[in-house]
Amino acid sequence: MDPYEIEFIGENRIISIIPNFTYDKIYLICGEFGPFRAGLPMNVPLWLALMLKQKQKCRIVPPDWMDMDALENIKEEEKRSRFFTKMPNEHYMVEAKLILGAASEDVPNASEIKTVIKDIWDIRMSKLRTSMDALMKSGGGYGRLDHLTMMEINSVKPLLPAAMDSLLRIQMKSKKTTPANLNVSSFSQSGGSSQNI
Amino acid sequence: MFAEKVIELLKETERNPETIDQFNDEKIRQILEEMQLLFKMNMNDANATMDNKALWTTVQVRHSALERNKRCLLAYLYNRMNKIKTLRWEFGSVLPLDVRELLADEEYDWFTKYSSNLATYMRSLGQDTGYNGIDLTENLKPPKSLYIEVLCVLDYGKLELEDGDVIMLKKNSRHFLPTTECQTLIRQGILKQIT
Amino acid sequence: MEFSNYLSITDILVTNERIPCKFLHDLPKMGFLDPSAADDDLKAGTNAEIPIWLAESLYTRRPPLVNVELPKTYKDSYREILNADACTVDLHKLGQHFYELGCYVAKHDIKGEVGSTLINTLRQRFRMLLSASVATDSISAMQPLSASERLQAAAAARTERNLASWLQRGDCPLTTANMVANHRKRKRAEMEMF
Repeated sequence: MDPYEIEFIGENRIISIIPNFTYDKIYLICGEFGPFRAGLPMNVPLWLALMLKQKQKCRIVPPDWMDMDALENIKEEEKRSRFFTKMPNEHYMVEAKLILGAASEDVPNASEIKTVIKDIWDIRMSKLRTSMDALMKSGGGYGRLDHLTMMEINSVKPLLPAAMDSLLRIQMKSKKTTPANLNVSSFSQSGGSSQNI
Repeated sequence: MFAEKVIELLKETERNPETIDQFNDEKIRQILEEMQLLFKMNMNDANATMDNKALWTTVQVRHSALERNKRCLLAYLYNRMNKIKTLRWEFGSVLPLDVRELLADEEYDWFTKYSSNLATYMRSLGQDTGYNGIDLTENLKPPKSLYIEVLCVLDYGKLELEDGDVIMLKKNSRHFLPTTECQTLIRQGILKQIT
Repeated sequence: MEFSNYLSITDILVTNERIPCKFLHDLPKMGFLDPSAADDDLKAGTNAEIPIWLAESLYTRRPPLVNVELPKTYKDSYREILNADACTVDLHKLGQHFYELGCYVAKHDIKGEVGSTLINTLRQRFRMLLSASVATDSISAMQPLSASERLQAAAAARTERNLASWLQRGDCPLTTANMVANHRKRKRAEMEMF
């Protein structure tokens, strides 16, 4: 998947904004939002929040987890642990990138927060690479993906699943029992198409 | 050795996995000739097996070669068919002349039929909810902004927008357009998004 | 490594590789299968290298017409090197379709050692794919990889690139479709040639 597609999925998360205008309820495919009252906090999907922010129609309320102390703790825990720790948010990287990109003035300590989130991301990504290699080398047949977010899982595709596939195929095909001669097999059609995966 | 010509044909295809080559009439004719020859030899030897049983294995070997040739030819056609499908999704329903020339007549017929099947299907989408179909070749990326700035890469001519305005797309001209109205032209390589 | 199906071009090219065989029966008029012999007929007991597709077909006859032997890259001496440290081996030179070909060969290996060497090699070399996907000098990192490894490393590098560009930029630029762009590029290259 393209990272922008994951970003698009992450943009559906609900966050708080404080609008500076007043307007009736709006009806969208994904639900009803509003009414908008100037100065009163309310919930909208992230994509809508960003659109309003770009038009300077609202202030974004930073999510609870975007807090220096909490993030420092997460970072320490992530460094200490051999495993992946649970993130406060399934799309933490998407939310951080979009909110800090479009509304950094609404987030206290924005630049420090940016740095610590980037640190957490880097720690997790390098842990991910090391554990992939360890998994392949150790001969394990499966890997646990506990507490990895969608964007992180996507970063090992297609490499890791493809390598696991190859292993399985070699195991299956190198057995003596497999009938191998495709030239005389009946006409069969599987996989193969190159487009729109 | 048997079935060598057909391997040349497939290697040619492997060299350019991202584009489609000229349909190779001549080589296919040669391969079919080889197959005819194998078949004739097998007919003769099969009739002679009454006197010489050992010939029977020879017939089987040639038969394997015939099946090998058949498999390779089908793979060649199938591989091209997948590429022709992609042509419809990327160039649209009207192929530029220099692309069309690369297809055999039968392949072009197939393209036309595939194209109209796809169009019928896309028109039928959402009819039950009151929509007049969805163009599946559009909106392949998540939407970001309603309007984008584009640069025209080649002389295209007039483009009529949904609001009735007509703009001239000339080489190196810049435009600020609704994303929905220029995304297909971007995919076709006529416009380029300026970022 | 893709699944080998009837229409797979990769599988067709793999099965075009030659492997050593011993013929168990006389084959009238098939002398040309052994380039070193001058006879019209192929005699039982002849050794010759023939394409896998033919060897497979002759082997599966009842009774089998050939015995398939191990090509030298899958024999003891090479297996030892691979099992010791597979990452030092240039698979591109040793055999572009090392794994795919190995799967065909492994079935004829009575001791089952070829199969385990293949798996061992793949497990060890995974880290080469990992580093090739982020290498700054990708050409030399890709060089020692087999054909299927190169495809995997290239796909991983594409993922890395997409992720890096997502992290760096805010918008999601629309681009020319793949085949359109490649067709143009090739056209331009041809024009410059003539």
